[in-house]
Amino acid sequence: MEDMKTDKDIRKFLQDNKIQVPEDDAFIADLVRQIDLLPVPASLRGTDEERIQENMRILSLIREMLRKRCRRQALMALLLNAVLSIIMFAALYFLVNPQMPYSSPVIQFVITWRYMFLGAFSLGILAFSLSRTGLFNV
Amino acid sequence: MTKEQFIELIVAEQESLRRFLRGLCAGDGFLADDIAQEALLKAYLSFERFQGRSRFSTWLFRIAYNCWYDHLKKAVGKDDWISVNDSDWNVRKEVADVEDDSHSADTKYEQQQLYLAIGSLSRPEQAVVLLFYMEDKSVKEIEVITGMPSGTVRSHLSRARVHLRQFLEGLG
Repeated sequence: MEDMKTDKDIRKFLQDNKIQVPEDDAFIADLVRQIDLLPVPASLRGTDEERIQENMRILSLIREMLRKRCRRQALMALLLNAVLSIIMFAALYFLVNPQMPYSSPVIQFVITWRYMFLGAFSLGILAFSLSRTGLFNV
Repeated sequence: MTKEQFIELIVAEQESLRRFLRGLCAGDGFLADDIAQEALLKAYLSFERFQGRSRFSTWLFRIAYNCWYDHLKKAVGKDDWISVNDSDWNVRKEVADVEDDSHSADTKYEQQQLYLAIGSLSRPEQAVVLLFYMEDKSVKEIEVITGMPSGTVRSHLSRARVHLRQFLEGLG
């Protein structure tokens, strides 16, 4: 008997003296015969993978559809915003111009005082709309 | 996965699984193959439960270990399953004598000593030793297969190692 000094020796001894399993017996044939008698489980019908792929494709289509719709809405909001901003800035320009007949000192005071805030607010909305379009997403 | 692919997988794993069960069943090849067949049919019918968190072979070994455990509990009773039944291992010796005609006398002798050495361990130690040394399973895999915490696996291994060393050196 070898001297069992180390773990390695024990492993080697056990590996060298592995329990023998007969190779040419009817074990597998019998097992396959029994499997054939049983109903095939759903998980082994080979359809799972196809179903997952199909569901993933549908989800991807829905995602793309929603993304397009959101982008369209955001672009429309952006255009509307740009048009409204142009109208508003034009109106403000004409209102603060003292040469205009309908301009009054009160209107001029209110508008010049709020001009910066209105501009900043409008730019904020524009920036938000732009970001929602996803046009700048990489 | 299809049925045919599953069969291919179990054909690849059956040898080590049956060897492990033969070890646990003290060399009773018929009983070991019955348990292996039961385990593989259970694996086939419950394949949807295999989640891929462990290797396929580990999952199969776990089912087989549970089948063997259930069988043993029925056979020897709940309280006695850990203790060693020496007569089991006498059967192993006889089976080994019959099965290993092709081996030289030295090899046969060493194998007999090995069977005796393994037979002298407690059943959980036998399972851990067979998985660790013969089937090259890691402690983590043994933990999954037997359901024992890793600390318990390590302590079983350590005790079995000392026991095996003493037994084999004593024989030498």
